[in-house]
Amino acid sequence: MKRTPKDTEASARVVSRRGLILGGGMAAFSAVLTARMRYMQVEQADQFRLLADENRINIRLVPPSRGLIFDRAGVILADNEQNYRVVLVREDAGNVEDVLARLQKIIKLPEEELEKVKEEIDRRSPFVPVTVADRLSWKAFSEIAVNAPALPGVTPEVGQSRIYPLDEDFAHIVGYVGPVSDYDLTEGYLADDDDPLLQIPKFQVGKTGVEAKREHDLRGQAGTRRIEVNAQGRVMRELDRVEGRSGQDIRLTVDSALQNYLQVRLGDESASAVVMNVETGDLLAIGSAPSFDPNKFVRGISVADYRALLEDDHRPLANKSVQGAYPPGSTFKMVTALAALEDGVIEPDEEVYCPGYKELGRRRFHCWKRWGHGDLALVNALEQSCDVYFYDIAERVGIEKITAMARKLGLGIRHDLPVSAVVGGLTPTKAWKRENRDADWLIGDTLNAGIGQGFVLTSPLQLAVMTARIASGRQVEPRLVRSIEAQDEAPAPPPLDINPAHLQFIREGMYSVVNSGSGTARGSRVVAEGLRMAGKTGTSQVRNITAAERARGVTRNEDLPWERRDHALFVSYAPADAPKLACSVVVEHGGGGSLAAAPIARDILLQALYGGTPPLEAYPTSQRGTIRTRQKDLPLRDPSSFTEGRSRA
Amino acid sequence: MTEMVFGAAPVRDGEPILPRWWRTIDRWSLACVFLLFGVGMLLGLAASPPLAARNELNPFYYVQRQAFFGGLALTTMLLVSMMSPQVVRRLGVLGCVGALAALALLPFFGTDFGKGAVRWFSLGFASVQPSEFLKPGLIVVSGWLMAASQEINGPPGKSLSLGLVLVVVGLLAIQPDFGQACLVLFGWGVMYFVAGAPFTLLIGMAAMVVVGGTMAYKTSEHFARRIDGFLSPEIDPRTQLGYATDAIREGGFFGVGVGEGHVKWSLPDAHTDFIIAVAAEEYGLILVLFIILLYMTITVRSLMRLIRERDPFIRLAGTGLACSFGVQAIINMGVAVRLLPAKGMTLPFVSYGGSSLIAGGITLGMLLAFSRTRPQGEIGDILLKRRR
Repeated sequence: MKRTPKDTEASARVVSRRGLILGGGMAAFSAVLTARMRYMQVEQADQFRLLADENRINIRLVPPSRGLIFDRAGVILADNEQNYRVVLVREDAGNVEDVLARLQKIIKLPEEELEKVKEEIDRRSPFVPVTVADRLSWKAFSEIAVNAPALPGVTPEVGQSRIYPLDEDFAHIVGYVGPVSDYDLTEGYLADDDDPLLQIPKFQVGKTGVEAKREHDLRGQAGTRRIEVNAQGRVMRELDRVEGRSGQDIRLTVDSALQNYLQVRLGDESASAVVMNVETGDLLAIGSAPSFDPNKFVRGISVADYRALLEDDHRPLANKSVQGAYPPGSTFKMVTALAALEDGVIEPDEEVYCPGYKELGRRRFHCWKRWGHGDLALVNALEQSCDVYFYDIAERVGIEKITAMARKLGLGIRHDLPVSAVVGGLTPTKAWKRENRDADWLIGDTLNAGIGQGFVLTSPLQLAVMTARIASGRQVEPRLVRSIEAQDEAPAPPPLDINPAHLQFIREGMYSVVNSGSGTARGSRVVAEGLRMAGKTGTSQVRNITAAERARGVTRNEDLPWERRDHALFVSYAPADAPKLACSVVVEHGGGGSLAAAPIARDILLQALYGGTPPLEAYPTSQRGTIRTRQKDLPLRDPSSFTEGRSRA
Repeated sequence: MTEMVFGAAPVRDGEPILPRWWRTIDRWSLACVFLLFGVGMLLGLAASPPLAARNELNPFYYVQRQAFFGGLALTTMLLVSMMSPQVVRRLGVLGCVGALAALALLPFFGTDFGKGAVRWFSLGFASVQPSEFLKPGLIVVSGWLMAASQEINGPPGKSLSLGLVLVVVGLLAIQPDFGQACLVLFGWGVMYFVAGAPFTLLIGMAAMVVVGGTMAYKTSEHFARRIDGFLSPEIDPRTQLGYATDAIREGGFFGVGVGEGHVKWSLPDAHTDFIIAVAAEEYGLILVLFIILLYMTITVRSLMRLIRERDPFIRLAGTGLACSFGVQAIINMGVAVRLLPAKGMTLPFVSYGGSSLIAGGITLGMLLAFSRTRPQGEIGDILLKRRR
């Protein structure tokens, strides 16, 4: 075969030349590549390390994880849970509408939320991440992660949010968290707090209860993240990260199982109850009904739900056990009696005649028993709650001494508990009336105060403290936070400055109230030996009974509209012979203390003493049927909810 | 025909195959190929554990597979490099026809592995990417056609080969796999250039590339985003390229240390397209320069040896193979350092992947077969004639 002339010398030269050009080109290319590699790896690497000196480095805060709140046994009351959310960055998304429509197929946001998100996206700078959806399920979260290529600009993120596993039970004590508001920072309790964490938008701070009062312990310290930003403030990369310090955990004195029982037992009543250890002052349960779900507030409560809470005449948002100030009624009679005994104006066995009323000038002060009690000494007067006896001794001892005794027993004093809106109540003096009512103190005021009516106001917490002090004879202070280190707490509180013999008379009276044949709370006695209960009923009027009404015959409570009925109160301690626990119960507009409040207090105390559902043998024989039905019907939480730590699924 | 032998002609009939192979092979390139394979294994050790962790396999699963396919590829390469150019040509034609058929069947039987482009046949234990195997075959066939066109009364080889290449480019475009299409076009262009294309035509082609690129930029959002990403001075640190750039910067001269790299944990393609970033981060500039040196030694040495080749087929096909091999490596590394726009392309012999490894073995085997020492000059001409 003949070869073409082209493929001879000349052609070979062309070929060699072109081959050389190619080889040279390749070599040049690789030289450029080498130079570029060297530039990036040596020079830019040095630059990169020098950046620290320039102000392109920003410090960003990393929120610490909030301290947990436990009950006395270590059951979690406030926990942090993983919160899966998606954020969208407008400039990365391109067509925001398209991307949101695609995202919508996975997470299905309600229309109005979507509109809000769109507004938010339009309002923010294009590079700022905007949260599109919060609290996603793991499934939705992973679906978004998998579909990331179809969702430009959308990033799934993990954060922490607060959750209250025992929701309604601790709504008033633990409280809840919410995003920090301008009000918090200017006038609220965070006004003097210059923690930079508070500048983070929507940073969660305690709003009520322990969450708010112990905010500083729970919050922890911010970590920092050094990031490089460009001139527009866009984050280019993270350089390093210093982890913050998590918030401190807090352990409360409450027993969550008892608290649950208490809340459930109070049920739908507008009521509150406090259970307290008479020696240490530990609050084992402190409940207020009706309650609400604090988790709703964390998630952002709907307007309708919030309005429903506000407009409920049972005031679910109020923590009545510390916030409610009620006339103590007959539960105050121990104070009057102690004041009189200590002052020596009456002897324990001295009898006073009760004709059914006491006359003071032209005014008659009535006893609750129209026909009178006849001759009564101290113990019987307490047992039957004779008003005339206490009018009489109150008149003898005078208001100043009564008030001094009330304060000694913990009334009229604001006890410092880390919950919201603790009230001080009111134990009136002559000076107080002159200052506040612009009127002189009248003897009639003293008589009214002597039976816990008139100006006297106390909270269920104060009543529990009073009962605990009478029961133990010591100056116990209520305590809600348990020191985590020392199990054996501070030495027992000092004894009260009251003659122990006098206290013993009062205890005897309280024992008779519940256990003797004519005691006002006999219906609520405990028959289990060694666990007998002592107490005092109270019924406080929220209205005046006019002479005309009295002449007609006093209208029965049940016939009145709810908000005008009497408050029912009961204070008690048990076991009577070796007091351990004190309990106060107030049922707003519940009627008589013996019927509405005493049975609740008995159930709660027995529940606490037995550490669970009490046996029917503790109750009087005739009541066992009713009690059995009630025990069965109470919608208590499953006991597994109170297992320690994070064992819940 | 009369035998005319001057001096000691290096043709010894009856010489055993192996010694002759060893005497004539380009031993430098051969050594470089083995070193590249070693580097691939070394980087596989670094890149395998994160990938295996994601797929819940034993940490060095991918190293074992890499070793298996690498062994297969090296064996293939050695076998092919022992063949004579004629046998290689036959192999190339067969491979080209087979791979072309496979490529055409892809739209019906292929899978996309969820990546949005149908490029693979799934065989259960492994997947095959026909376009990888097509490249060497296509270059050999094109080289043959072009060489034939230089013969008097030869077929219109250049046009025929252009037609063939355009068919292949079309098939690749519907996958879509524009990277491979470009590479195929480039390989053909190189051969055409060496075969003596007029410069005006080359300029015209360059113009067409510009026009085509502009069109693609205007019509394809995907393509436009890549170009924009390349042109913008700041890279988004959350893209693959952003991670790779960070990793390369992080590496410095000596690297952050074996196994200490971070990029392999966040880059999905750390074991394939961005293996150079892993190398740069963990072993630093040293290893990167070494890798560049290896590729360039193979490419440039082969080109220099081919310049002396008188047989147009060997020269054209060899040049095409050497250039496409070198250019693929350059593009891969160029993308990682942002000299070139983002384009998925493996680093031959280093990236993980069975098809890529074995096809690389075939390509280099053919190249080594073509670049073997042969009698050249007058003698070559004479021997060439005698062989025919």
